[in-house]
Amino acid sequence: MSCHDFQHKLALLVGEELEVDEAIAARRHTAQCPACRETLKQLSESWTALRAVGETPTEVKGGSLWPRVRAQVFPATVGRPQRDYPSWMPTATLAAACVALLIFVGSTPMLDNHAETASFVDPSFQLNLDETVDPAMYRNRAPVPGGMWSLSTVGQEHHGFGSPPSAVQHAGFGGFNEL
Amino acid sequence: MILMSNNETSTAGLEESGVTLSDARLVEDVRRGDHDAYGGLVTRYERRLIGVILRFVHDTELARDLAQETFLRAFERLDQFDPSRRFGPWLFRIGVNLALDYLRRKKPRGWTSLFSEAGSDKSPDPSTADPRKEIDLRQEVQFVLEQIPEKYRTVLILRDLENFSTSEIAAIENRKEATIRWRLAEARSRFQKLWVKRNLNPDVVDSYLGDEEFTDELS
Ligand SMILES: [Zn+2]
Repeated sequence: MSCHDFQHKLALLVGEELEVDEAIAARRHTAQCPACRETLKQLSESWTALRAVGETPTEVKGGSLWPRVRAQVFPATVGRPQRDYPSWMPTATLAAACVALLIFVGSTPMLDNHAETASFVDPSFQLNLDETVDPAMYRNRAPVPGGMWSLSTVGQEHHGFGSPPSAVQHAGFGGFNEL
Repeated sequence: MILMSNNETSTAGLEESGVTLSDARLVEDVRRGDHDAYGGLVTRYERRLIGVILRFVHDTELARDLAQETFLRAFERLDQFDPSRRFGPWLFRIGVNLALDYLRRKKPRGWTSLFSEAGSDKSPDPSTADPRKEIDLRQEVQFVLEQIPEKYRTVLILRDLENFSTSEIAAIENRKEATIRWRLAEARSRFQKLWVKRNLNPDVVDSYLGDEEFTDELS
């Protein structure tokens, strides 16, 4: 293996990302090669600077994005209560409708009053209670200009999740914390 | 929402009665029209996502805007998401691409950018004769990173600044892990060469960059 090949390995050696046998071979070579030894020293210094910055987490200010995201993806629901209705409300609405129906069926002279009762039960209100919002209806939003990327499926199964080398452990920031 | 078994490990934010919802379950719930399920995904990932984007754009408000746009685009494309895959890498791919696309269109490359928008959170003292003497380590690293081609810079940021594993980066970038390892080695080598030269005259570094042959790597 040439010095050039070793120097690529050394870049992974500083982050302890080489397999054990590769790391042993790289260290053995640097022990007898002044040029690679100097490269390793410089790699260690520059990598240490990178890691020092990496270990200072970025300061993420501000509250949750969810209210703003929700206003854009579910505009129809903004300003309307989502789940702040009592649990008995759907039952009560159904009961009121049944009562109205019974009155309507049982008493023909009540026809004129029926219109009034029917308008009281707002169909859109019932829809909201059911929360049957189809996300597909929001996908018709005009595309945002600025380029599209291949968003095909993630091409890799995940290996070694959350197992960065011990030297670069970064509390609270390893992995996605995905479930 | 349907709850997962009690055996699931809990993470921040998404628990109901001590039971945690998986990303896959939340995505499924969103597809069925459950608004709060998408809120669950947003709150689960937003801080991490903003933090990663911030490494690219160095402006908190801009990072928040780009993260918001990421969640919008993810929602719009949720029907393209393969539920057998992981949601996190897919989301972060959108976010990183948005950040890179913003930089491609907006950010001037080279020496001026450090003291323009890139350094907006920490402006150097204008009265200083040579402001480069005043910049701290973070700015110095940022400055060198800016000299590195995008695909290598991205891997360095994700690995050495944000501590994603190479397999996670492979998932985010939709590349083989071997490719990511090759890029990482190349990126660190380039960073090292520029780091050594960082105190030289800018023209020297520019000429060095001009001579550099940007060879590509494995597929
Ligand atoms: Zn050598």
